[in-house]
Amino acid sequence: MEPILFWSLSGLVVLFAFLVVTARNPVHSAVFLVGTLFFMAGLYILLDAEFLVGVQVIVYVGGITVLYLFVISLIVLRRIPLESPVTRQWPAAIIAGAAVLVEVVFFLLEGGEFFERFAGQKLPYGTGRAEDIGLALFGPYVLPFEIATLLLLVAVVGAVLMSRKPEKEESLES
Amino acid sequence: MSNSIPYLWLIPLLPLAGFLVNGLACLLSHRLGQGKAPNRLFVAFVACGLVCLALILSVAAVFELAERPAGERIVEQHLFTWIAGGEGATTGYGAVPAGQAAFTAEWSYLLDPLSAVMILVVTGVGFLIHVFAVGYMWEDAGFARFFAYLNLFMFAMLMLVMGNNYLLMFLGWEGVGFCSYALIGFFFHKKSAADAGKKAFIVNRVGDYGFMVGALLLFATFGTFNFNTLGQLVKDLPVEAHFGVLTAITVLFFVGATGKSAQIPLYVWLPDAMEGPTPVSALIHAATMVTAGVYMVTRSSFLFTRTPITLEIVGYIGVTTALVAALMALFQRDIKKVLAYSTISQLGYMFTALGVAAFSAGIMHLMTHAFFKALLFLGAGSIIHAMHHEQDVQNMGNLRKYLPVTFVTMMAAYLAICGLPPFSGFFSKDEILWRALASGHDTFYIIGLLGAGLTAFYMTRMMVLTFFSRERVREEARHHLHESPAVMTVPLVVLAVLSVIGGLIGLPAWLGTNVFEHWLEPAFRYAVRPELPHHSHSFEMAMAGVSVAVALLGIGLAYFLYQRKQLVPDRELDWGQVWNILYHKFWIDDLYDFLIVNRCKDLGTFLANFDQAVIDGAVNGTAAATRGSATLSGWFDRYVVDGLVNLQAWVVQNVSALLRKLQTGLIPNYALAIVLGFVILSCLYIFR
Amino acid sequence: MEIYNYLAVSTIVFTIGLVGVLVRRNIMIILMSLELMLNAINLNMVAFSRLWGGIVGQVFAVFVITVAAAEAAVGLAIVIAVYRHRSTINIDDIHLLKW
Repeated sequence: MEPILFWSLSGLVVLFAFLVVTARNPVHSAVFLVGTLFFMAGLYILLDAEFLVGVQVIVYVGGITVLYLFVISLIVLRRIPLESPVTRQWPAAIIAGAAVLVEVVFFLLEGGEFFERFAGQKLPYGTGRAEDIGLALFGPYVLPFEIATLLLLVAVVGAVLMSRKPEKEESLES
Repeated sequence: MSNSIPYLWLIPLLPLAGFLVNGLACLLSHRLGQGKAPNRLFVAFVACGLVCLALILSVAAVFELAERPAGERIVEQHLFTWIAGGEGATTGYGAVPAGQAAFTAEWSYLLDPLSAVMILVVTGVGFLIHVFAVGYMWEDAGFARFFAYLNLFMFAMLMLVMGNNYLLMFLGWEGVGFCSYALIGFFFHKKSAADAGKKAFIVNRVGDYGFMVGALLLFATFGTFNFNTLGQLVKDLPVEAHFGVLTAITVLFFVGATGKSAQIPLYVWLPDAMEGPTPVSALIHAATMVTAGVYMVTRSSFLFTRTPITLEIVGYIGVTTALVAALMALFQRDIKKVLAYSTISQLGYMFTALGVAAFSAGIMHLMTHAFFKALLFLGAGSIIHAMHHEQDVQNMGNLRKYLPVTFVTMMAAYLAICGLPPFSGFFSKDEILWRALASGHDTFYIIGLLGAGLTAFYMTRMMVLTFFSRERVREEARHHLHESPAVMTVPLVVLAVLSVIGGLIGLPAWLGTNVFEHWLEPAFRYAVRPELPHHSHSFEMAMAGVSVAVALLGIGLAYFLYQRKQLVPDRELDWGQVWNILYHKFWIDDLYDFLIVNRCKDLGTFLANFDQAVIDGAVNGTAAATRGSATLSGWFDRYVVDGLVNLQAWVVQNVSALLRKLQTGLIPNYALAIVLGFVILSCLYIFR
Repeated sequence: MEIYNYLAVSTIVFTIGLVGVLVRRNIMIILMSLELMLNAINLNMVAFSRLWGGIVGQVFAVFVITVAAAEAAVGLAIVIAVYRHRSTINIDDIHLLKW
């Protein structure tokens, strides 16, 4: 059962990812992103990361992509560029992407023994249940946690500030 | 040395005053009088009057001298110390007390029998010529300048003969040289006159150099220039048989004498000097300046008699000059040129006398020659004046009809120069020839005799062509032809009288006492007496007869050719090669031109070119080199130094222009750059 | 379990996301491609967490999500601001940094 799930889910993930990147309409792109994220969450289930599934769906799908859709709808959508949807550097980009792919593959093939290093060990706070993550977050990783909150605060403030409508005197054509 | 002729110093001073007054008058009238000439009567009176005064004083001084006994006829008068210098050596010749100057030049005059004769001749003949010149130069615009120079000459000549040391003599020597130059080149507008002046001065300079070196050598040897002191110092020295210091000194002195007195080889200036006015030729180039050499040698008798080698040289040169000059005079056409060569020839006789140590004979001939040669020149001047400046004898003839006084007086001089008794020239010339023979110098006698014959010949030729022969005077000159005024003829008469009777004070032994020789004795007290073999009076008389006969032969031949056969200068050319050589004076002038004059000019040209090419070239070269190096530096600065700086800027500019293209401003490009950077870094990581 | 499978998926998605960031003109799509990359990383982390049995990977993934959220908010705010000034979401037209 597991392989079937795995292969179908991963295939869908890849497919939708591809669609995200190649969609013309940004709304389509956002919807395909939602799909990708959902199927990614499916993969998380297969990996016993229960809490993360919830986080993924709620935050990523429910928050971020919604945010994207909001913004897309705020900007005039009829303005679909007439020129090519790709930049002029697409050959170089393809090559760079291919290079990265090759290199990562190389790393993976080379680093086989790296994966065995920690095999069989039981690292603390195993499995993926919410309480495990909670214990980890408020345990050894409390500092990053606090910093992350700070980061979110800054992001909120910044987002509000930067998207504010300018004052009447300094307003430009929008 | 008693100082009992107090007015002695006035004698040279009076002509000097004349020079200053006339010179000042010239300058002032030129500056203030808008170029008008000074008053001629004033100038004439000042010039002649002062010389007359000097003559009177000279006569008085000589009389005073004569009153003394023979041994005391030496008067010195010290005026002041001209130069004092140097540390004195306390030992050896010329030793001075410690602290006294080693070298002093004293301005002192000496009056002894020799200088007495000289001052009388100089002032006497000088005065007569001054008077003559008043008439001769009356028409000339440079009247005042002429007399200023003439007076200056008198001063210098008197300094020469009255100085008591060689330094003052040299002062006068140079002074007369300068005046000669100024007066020969008096008509300086004429190129030939200016050239003649230059020639005279330059040739004289060669001689002066010899004199100067000799005088310095003398001083180096003896430490003094004073005649009397030197005489004392030399008294005990033996005769120098070989070439020593004394011989060197006397030879050098004689070189100076050949320059001033126109002997071989430095005579070439005298014929050219005829470019000057005729009174100048009479005074300077007959009577006085040219005799300075004779005087100098005579004054240095105490040296010359101790150097037999030099005396031989003097004698040979003298007698050779006498002969050669006489030959050159034979075919001259210019009346003054004939007289010029005659002067050279007669000076040669004087030196011949000096060469056989017959000093008094030489001085006597100097005196008589002054009389008759001055007269001949003045007479020629009278002729030239009357003929309105015609000087070629070709165009004269039968002038005795027109110029009687001139004719008579010149006849007197002519007879004197030919050496016919009882005229003065006979006594002096005969004495010379006799002394030459008597001292064993047979060659001198023979050549001298030959010269005497030639003298007679050419003088007769001149007189005949001028006064006797068929009249060849040109039409335009005939109108002016009249006797000269009294101011010119009176001096002629006076000189004629002197030419006639002047010889009587020097009678030879077979006729009476030689008063002249006795008079001059004290001047030679330091000289070595020559040993004269004794000859009988009859022999002497016979020799005198021989010389007269030779003279008459010459006269007769010339008379025959020029009066009987009416030979004229134009027809002399028929004598072919003989005439050619003699007329061109053996081409000696041309030889000198080629050897010396033109070579000196070449040197001058070469040096000028050298200066221009090398020295100026070097200067210009350094300037060019500086310019070149400056250009190089500039180029270097512009292209290399600035180039480097500009290169930097260019590099920065172009590289940045290239690199700037990286900043496209497009965010995808930057993202791509990040990815590429990651790719490269991981490549490095992989392949490490 | 075959970790390699998960890593391969992760890599593929990552590469796709990377290419999307580099190639697309529309800013929104670029940002979404960026989210893809982050998700791929998350998958990587969780896979390794599963392999070795610890929770570290998942914790890291939580943080990644957090940061992604913050970054998305701010990024979109910027897009809005830029759009207000330049009336474009074509990334090629935002080149004031050009030399």
